[in-house]
Amino acid sequence: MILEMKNIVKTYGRVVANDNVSIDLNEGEILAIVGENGAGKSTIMKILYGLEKPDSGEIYVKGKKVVFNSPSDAMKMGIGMVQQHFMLFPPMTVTENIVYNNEQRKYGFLDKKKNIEKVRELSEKYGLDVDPEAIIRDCSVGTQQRVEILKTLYQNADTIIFDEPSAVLTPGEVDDLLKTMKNLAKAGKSLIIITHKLNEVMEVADRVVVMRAGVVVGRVDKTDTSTEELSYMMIGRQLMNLDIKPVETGRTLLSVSGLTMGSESGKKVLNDVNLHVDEGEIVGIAGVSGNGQSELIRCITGLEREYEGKVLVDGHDVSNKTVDVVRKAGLSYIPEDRYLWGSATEASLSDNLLMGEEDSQAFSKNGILNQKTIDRHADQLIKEYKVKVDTYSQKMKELSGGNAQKIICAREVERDVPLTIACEPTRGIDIGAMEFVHERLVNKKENKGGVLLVSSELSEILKLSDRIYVMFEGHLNHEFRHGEIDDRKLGIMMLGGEINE
Amino acid sequence: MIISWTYISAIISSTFRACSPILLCSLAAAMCSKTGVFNVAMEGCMMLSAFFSIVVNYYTHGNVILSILAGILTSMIVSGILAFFIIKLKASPVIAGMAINTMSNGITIYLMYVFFGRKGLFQDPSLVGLTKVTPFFSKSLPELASCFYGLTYVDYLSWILAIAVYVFLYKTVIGYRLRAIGINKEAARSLGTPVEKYQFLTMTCSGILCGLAGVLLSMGSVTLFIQNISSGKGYIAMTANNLGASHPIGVAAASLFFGICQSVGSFLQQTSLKGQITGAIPYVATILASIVSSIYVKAKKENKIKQALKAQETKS
Amino acid sequence: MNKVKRLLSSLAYPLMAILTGLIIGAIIIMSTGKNPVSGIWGLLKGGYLTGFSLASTLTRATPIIFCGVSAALAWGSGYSSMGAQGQMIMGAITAAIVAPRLPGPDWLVVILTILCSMVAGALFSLCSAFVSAKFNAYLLIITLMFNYVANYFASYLTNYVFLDPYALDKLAIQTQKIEGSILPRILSKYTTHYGFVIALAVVILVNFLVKRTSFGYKARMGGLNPHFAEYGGIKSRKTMYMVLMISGAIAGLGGACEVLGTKFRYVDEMITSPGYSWSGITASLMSNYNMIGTLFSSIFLAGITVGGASIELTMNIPSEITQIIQGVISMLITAKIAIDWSKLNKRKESAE
Repeated sequence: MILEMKNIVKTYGRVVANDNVSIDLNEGEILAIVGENGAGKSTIMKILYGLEKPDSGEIYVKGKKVVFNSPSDAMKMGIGMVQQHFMLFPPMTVTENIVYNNEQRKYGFLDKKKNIEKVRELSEKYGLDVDPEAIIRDCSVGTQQRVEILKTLYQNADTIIFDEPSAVLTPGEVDDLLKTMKNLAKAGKSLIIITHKLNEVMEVADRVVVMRAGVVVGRVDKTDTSTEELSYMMIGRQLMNLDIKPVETGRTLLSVSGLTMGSESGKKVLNDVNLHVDEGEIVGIAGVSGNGQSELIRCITGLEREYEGKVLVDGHDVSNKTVDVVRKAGLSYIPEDRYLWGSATEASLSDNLLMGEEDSQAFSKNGILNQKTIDRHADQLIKEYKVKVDTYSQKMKELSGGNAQKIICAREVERDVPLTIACEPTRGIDIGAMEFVHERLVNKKENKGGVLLVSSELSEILKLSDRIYVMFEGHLNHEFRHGEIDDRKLGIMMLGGEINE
Repeated sequence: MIISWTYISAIISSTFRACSPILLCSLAAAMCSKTGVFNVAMEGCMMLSAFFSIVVNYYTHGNVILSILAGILTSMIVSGILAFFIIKLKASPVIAGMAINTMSNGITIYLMYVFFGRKGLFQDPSLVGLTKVTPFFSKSLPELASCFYGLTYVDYLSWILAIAVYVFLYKTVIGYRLRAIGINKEAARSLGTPVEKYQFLTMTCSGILCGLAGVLLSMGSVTLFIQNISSGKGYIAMTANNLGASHPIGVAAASLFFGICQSVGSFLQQTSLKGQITGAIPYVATILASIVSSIYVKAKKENKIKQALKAQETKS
Repeated sequence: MNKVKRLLSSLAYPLMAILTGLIIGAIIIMSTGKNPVSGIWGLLKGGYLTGFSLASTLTRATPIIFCGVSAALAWGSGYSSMGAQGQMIMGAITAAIVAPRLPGPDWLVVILTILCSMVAGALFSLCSAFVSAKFNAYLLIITLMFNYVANYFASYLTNYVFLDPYALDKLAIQTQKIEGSILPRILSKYTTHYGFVIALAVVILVNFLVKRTSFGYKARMGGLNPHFAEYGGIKSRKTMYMVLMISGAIAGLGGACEVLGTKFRYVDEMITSPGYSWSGITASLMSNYNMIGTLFSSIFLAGITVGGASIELTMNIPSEITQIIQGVISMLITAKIAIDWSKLNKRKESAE
């Protein structure tokens, strides 16, 4: 056994990210850790790589007890990590990226030739094809990832952690990556792969650890299991059967057709997306995060304007238009990140609740704000949404995450526009607040509105949506009505699988 | 106006003289920004170094070496304090830097009064300036040599330093690590580099360059201290750094450009144009240069995207 | 009750910075062999504690208030403009040229002159804003460069176009003296003129603009969180131009008041050498871009400047001591802002 983590506990405030998690790894083995978003699998790997410190629990490397205070401690013990967001220096060469901090030198100068030679040697030894003199910026994402792998090998890592390695790759590159991983294992390296994508797990892993809500819920050998079993273990929970009555649908509130967007690397982030939301329905987009949902919403709301295709909001053509135009056409939007996009933490709740309405008849006259009405409106929303604060003049930063989210929901859901886009509306908030937000979204649809719900939380999508689109790699692959599909099948499709009936 | 060789060679030599302080400061700025710190305090460092080199010059009865060292040391201390505020206390680099610049003005005037009992200008026959270097070919090629008239060894040193900074940043291991920090601080940190320590040391050492610039101002072509002696050269250096994309060679070219603006300006003043117009030339040039370089960068970027798209099309 | 508490806690840090600044000032005074206690006491007494000194302080504070409000508006909306100096020069030279040449009753001339100066300041600010936005250049550098251009431009006009050849003081380069159409003193005994009243009005107006209008809301949110403003569809180039134009107009107005209220003409370097612009920025920073706070900070900074001039006379301590004190204060203040940010970041991390 090369590595053992015993009874690791890690909490963030009141949230338990890892509860008594134990993991072990043998030499030359590929271990997959699978789980939903927020299951705690990234946390346990961050602890192993020295990026986070556990509250309790022990780590043994080659039988010796270790304490990691920083990644360099972990590196010294032969642990390397290929992070999801690459840690590279884009304007520098492949070689310069790999040899950093352990350079071949001559009298303090960089020995260019020797460094290149070293990298070439390493790349040949493990069959990782890179051009040592290429500039990282010009390399494909697949090559950049190979550079990340080479970096860990250059530091003599014998245990390599891969965090969601295929999230950014094209299908062809994924195949190469899986081949590489098998080769590395054959060469005696031990690998841990964190992923959602079960087909990849089935292809490379020897053993699988399934995590849910911070605890390990299953340990299986690959040969003894199936994609279906794994996805059921991953999602697991019983869904609350909230009886949501379908409402008669009316006019189309949002229509997106042929929406396509490329990125700098040439990969299509969005590929011919077509969807519509009608009056009286909640439409869910299910998908593992990072499959183009954020980009799609940025395009619809006007934050991103460089795309092809058509976007109609309540009948108005708003393709490639700015945010204010799109919003005026009849759309409100709960953003994914409540502090980065959704609020100004230093501003009062009144100010935060006013955003986007400052020029409306109700709140201002000839450009002068009617502070009384604004405050009254704020007070009303705060009461209606049961936000735990003393007054509307408090600053946003004084609120807890759940209450802050309620403020943003109140602002966007109660706005007098037909369509609301809700992105991860309940991420990181407690169950009470979650139920409340769900209730308001249902209420919106019952009052002749429409909601486009984007969530990586499957249960949320299944519970609320009248129709569900499945998004995978920038494209909407499937469309279902409420009740046509269950969590297991949806889970498999979210991961790019197909159901054979 | 008669254009004669005398004129041209005088313009060339004064270009070099005007250029060196800007060059030294913009090299300092380039080093800082390559390491990911925004330094706007070159103006203040230069002014304080100019002042303290004169102070030491006066009290050592003209010991030039000690004066230079005093200037450099002053500038390093000031840069170090600024680095502490920006890197450790996370102060806004703009505000902290500007505060240093205005404070320097106050400190120099205050201390000039304390040391020399006067305000505005200090000049004394006992002060010794930097030695002017006569080119070795002055006898054989007097025409050419006149282009280098009145240059001190620090002026020559500034060009050597431009090359040295280039070699340091692009050829040595430390320089390569510093550039990497400037490109992606988090990546460097994840590989175990003490990022803050490197940034602090870079900023402090960049003070050496500003210090030399200050010494040049007060002991170069003239040997005196006058209030606000740097007169915005630090800000021009900031722009030179911008225009030269923080690359030592680019920065040197941009500094030369501003040197030309300044010397041509002052020569035009002697002939026909009013001083107020020619004095404004470097600043107007800065604004125009920013505009032109932005248009150029934009065009280059668009071109690159177009090419990438084309390549994509031909592939598929 | 809660409000009082919040006000007090927001005052605590600036007061501490001021105290530290004064202590460092005292140490410098001591190190040059003077009595630090009587030095600082002289500074405060000379700045605030007699009717005459208070009046001088208010006179001195007037241009700083204009610069401070101008800076607080721009910086509070997220635009680091250093252009108040140049805009003020443009306002001042415009006033000095326009006022003696306009026909009509004095009061009308004053009003028209002020309007012209405001337009000059606004347009000049718009130029730098345009260059910065259109060509993606640092607003900071561009405004600094425009300051130099404005100064040379005004100096040229004073030297060669509008020079007063009959001026009594032959050394100072100045334009023709303005007769009649000036801002009179409030009390004939003291130098404080109606420019101070205008400054107060501007503080109240801009405070209203920022806090009570939809335009102010847009500007404020853009300063607090540009992403939030973008998401809400209110961050636009139009808002930027408007903010910087108003900020320029205020600085221009400040220039006009300086000409019409204290100097009655444009004197070369009259705006640059007292460093009004930097004092204004420091004042706005000390009050975290709050307009009312900027007013009081400006008066404080003017006070130590006036006090500095008085101890130079009485105790032979160079008045530049105040520049040093002011610099220390601004460095401490900017370090504080960052401390708050890091606290916030920690909060965010733990929430995730």
